[in-house]
Amino acid sequence: MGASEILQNVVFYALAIAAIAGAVAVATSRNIVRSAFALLAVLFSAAALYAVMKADFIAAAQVLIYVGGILVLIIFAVMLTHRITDVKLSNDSTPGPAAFCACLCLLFSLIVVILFTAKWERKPLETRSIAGGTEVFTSQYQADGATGLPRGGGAFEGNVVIAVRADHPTKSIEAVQVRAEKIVKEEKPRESDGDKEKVADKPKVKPPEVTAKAVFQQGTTLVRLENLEEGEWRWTATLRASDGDFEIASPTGKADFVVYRGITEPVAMALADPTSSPSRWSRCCCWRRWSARPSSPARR
Amino acid sequence: MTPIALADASWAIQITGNAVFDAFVCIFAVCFLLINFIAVYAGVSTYAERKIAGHMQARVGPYRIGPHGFLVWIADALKLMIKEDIVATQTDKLLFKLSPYVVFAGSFACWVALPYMPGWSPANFNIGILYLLAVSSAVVIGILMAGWSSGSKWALFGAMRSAAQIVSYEVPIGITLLGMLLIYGTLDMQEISAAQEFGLPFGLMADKQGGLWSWGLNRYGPFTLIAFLIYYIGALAETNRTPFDIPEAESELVAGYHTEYSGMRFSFFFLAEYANMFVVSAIATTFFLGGWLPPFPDVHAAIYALVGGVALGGMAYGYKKSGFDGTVGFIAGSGLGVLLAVLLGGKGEPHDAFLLPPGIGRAIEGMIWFSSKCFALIFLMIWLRWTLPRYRVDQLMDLCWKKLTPLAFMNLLVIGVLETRHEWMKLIIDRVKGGTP
Repeated sequence: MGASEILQNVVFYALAIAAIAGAVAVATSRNIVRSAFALLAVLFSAAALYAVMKADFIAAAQVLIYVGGILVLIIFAVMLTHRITDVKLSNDSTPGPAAFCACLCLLFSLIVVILFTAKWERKPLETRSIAGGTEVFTSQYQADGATGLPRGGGAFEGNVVIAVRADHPTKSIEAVQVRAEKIVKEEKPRESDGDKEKVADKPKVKPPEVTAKAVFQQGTTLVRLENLEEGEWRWTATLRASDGDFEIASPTGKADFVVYRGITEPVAMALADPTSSPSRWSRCCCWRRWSARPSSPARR
Repeated sequence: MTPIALADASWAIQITGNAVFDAFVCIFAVCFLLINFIAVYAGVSTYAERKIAGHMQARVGPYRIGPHGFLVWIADALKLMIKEDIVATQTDKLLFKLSPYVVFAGSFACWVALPYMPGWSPANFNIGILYLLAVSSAVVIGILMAGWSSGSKWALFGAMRSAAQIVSYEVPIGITLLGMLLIYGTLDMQEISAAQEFGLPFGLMADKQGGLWSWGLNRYGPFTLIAFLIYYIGALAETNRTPFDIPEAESELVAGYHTEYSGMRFSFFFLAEYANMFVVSAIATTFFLGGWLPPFPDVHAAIYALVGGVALGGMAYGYKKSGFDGTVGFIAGSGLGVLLAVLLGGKGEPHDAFLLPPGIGRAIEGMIWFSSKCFALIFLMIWLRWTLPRYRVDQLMDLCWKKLTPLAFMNLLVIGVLETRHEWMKLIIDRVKGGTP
C-alpha cells in the first residue's frame, strides 16, 4: 500500500465515522436543537465523502442544498415551534425498541434493494483476442470516479491497470509488457491571427510513452501504468513467450482511456466489445464526461 | 483518490519526492500563510475602519499607540487574547464553544478558491463559484448555533435576524451571478477572470483588448452595472454590514448573536466578519471588475507602480499636519512605488520583467491588481457604514423580496436575451424571409 492509498483510507474512515457519529447523535440526542445541529456533521461528512470520490460538483451541491437550505429550514422550524422553550423537550417519547425494529426493517430492505438491483461492482469488459494461437482476455481498470473505490489491484490517481488473462496458454509465456502511447492532436492554426505561423514547419515532437512489465501469472496478470500525463492514451500489450513475442493491439485504434486531472476514464474498451451497446458507458460516465470536457476558451 | 484540494495541488513543489507528502506540506504552508494573512488583514482593517470613521466624523480616531495610532490593532489583539473567557451558566456549553469555529471555518474555506493571481489559486476548482456559495452557508449555521446556545434573548434575536437576512439576500445574489455566468459560460474563477480580457460592451470588437471596457461591469452596459449594484447590496447584507446590520444593532440588541462572547471566542466572530468582507469583495472583483486584469492594458505595470507609489506617498504626506512626520511617509510610499516599478519594469508589451523570472512579474502584478480592487470595495463598505443609517427589519425584507429579487430576475432575462442575440436575429431573419425555422 502506497502513501496515497493509506491516506485515502484514513480520510475515508475518518469521514465515515464522523457521518455515523453525527447520525447517532441526531437520533439519540435528548435535545432536539442539538439533533438539528448534529445533522450538520452528517451532511458535511457526506459532502466530504463525495469530494474524496472526486465528485466535487455533487459535493458542492450537497453543501449548497442540504446545509445552506434544508438544514437552515429545519433549524428555523425547530426554533420557531411553539413550546420549544423547554430545552429538555425531545424525541425520546418514541418507544425505543419499536423505533429500532422499524429502522432495522428499513435497513434490511435497503440492503436487499442494493444487493439485487444496483450494479456496484463495475467489472470492466473483457476483450477476447487470439495471440499466437492462445486465447487472451484483456481488460482495463481505472479509478474513474464513478464508484470512487479503486478496483483491480489499485488503479489509482492517474494510474491504469491492464489485466491480462490467458487460461490455457499454448506456449510458455514469461512476461506481459504493456506500452501506452499518448495521442497528440495537431493544432489547427487560427484563421483570425494576423501573423500566420505554419504548423508544418514545427518539428514533430515524439509523443510520451509509458511502459510497464509484469511477470506472467496463472490466472490474471496485472500490469500497472503509472504517472500518466493528462490526455488521451492508447495501449498495446505484448506477451513475452520463450519463443517469440505476441502483440495484442487495441481493436479500435482510437484512444483507450483519457486522463484528466488525475481521473482516468475508459473510452474504447466498451466499444471494442461487440456484445455491449456503445451507449452504456456514455450513460455511466455521463457526468464525468461533462466535467472532463476541455475548458471553454475565453471569448474573443 | 485523495481530497480534491490535494488532487488539484499540481503547484506543489518537490520537497521529499513523495508526491502526497509534498502536497500535504505545501497545502499546509499555504493554509498557514492564508490564516495569518486573514489575522493581519482583519487587524489592519479594524484600524482602517476606526480611522476612516474618525476622519468622516471630524474626529481623530485611534491615535495613541504607534505612529498615528497604527499599532492599535496589535494592542487590541493582545487584549482579546488575554481577556477572561466567560461562559455563562445558561449556555449550551458544547454548541457555545463550537460555533465560533464553525463561523470562522465557513468564511476561511472560501479563501482557498479565490483567484489571487493569473493561473493560480490554492484550490483551482472548475466549480469555483458554486463551491464559494456553498461553503459560505456554514456561516449561517454557525450564527444560529451561537445565538441559540448563548441562552440569551438578545443573542437569539440577533441570530434569527441574521440568518433570515443572509438566507433572503442569497436569492438576488444568486440570480445576478447566474446572469453573469450566462456571459462567461464557466464556473471556474480563473477562467471568469481571463474571460474579461477581450471585447468591448455589447459584443463589439471581440478581439480588442479593451481593459476597463472589457470587464464584466461594462459587458452589457447598464444591465451588468445593475447586476453589480444588486450583488454589492446583497453582499453588504450577507456580511451584516451597515445599512443592513440589524442583527448587531447595538441600540436594540446589545451586540446581536455574539452578545455573550468574550475574549478569543469573540475575536473569531470578528475575524470571520472581516474575512467575509474580503470574500464578497473578491467575488465582486472577479465577476465584475476583471479580477487580476489591469484597467488599461496598454500602460506598463512599472508606470502604474510609480504613480501608485507616489500617490501613496502623497497621502502619507497629507498626514503631516496631524503631527506625523510627512516626509518619512512620502519617501516610504514613493520608495515602494519605485521598488515595484524596478521589479516589474521590462520590455513592454508581454510584461516580462527584467529582474524577475517570466511569470513571477505577471503574478505579482495580478496579485496587486486583485487585492487593490478588493480593498477599494472594502473601503466602499466602510464608507457606507459611516454614511448610511440602519434599515428597519420590514424595510430590509421589502428591499430584498419586492425590489432586488424582481429586478435581478428581469436583469437575468435581459442578459440572457442579449447573450443569445445571434440566435434571435437568425430566427427573426428566417421568419421575415418566410422560411420555416
